[in-house]
Amino acid sequence: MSGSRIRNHIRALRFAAGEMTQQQLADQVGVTRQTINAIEGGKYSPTLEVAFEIAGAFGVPLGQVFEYDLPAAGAHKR
Amino acid sequence: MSNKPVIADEPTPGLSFKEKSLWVTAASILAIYGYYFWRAVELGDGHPGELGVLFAGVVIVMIIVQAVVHAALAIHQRPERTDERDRQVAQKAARNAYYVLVSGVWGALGVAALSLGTFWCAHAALLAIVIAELVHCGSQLVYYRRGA
Repeated sequence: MSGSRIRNHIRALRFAAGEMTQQQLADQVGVTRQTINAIEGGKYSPTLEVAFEIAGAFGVPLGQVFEYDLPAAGAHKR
Repeated sequence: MSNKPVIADEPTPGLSFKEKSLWVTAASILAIYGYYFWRAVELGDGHPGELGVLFAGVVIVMIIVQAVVHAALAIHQRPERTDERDRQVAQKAARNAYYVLVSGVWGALGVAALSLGTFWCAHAALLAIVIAELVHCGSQLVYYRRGA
């Protein structure tokens, strides 16, 4: 969802990887282009498995693809 | 000025086969069952034979329309593989449809409790199933566009 705390750098990584298309990435990861588009646009948070597959497709660690904005300390506490 | 490379946006993908299939299903449910309910209410109670034929006809037409339109869609666009996002969208939509179905069943039980007769009780239950199916399709279409 757009309100997700998860941000990603897929678009920049695709560009850096020889302007890889969403379809090419989707084929490597084993999902549809629509799903890659949704992940890139922050409309869908992938499972860990697909997240690792995406990082693997670019040959970078997971942390270079996805970032998580940790909530402020104590935000989970009542 | 930023030194960041300018990365052209890829165009947003058009409707997938799955989304087109959902639109077709929703539209055919609305049209065919809409016709059924209109005719059934017109006939009213006391015509079980005609009602049975009408219902059987509606089910057969529904199957034929779905088969023909999906075959035509598949000729123009190859169906995509199903992935984890499709499964998540389907699960969330099924949850929404379940709430509607349960509410509808309670409504049908209410109709039964009011002793309005088998005709109205059965049609209240059928209406709940049809609305739940529409919610199932509609929810998936919304989740595909807005995010699941």
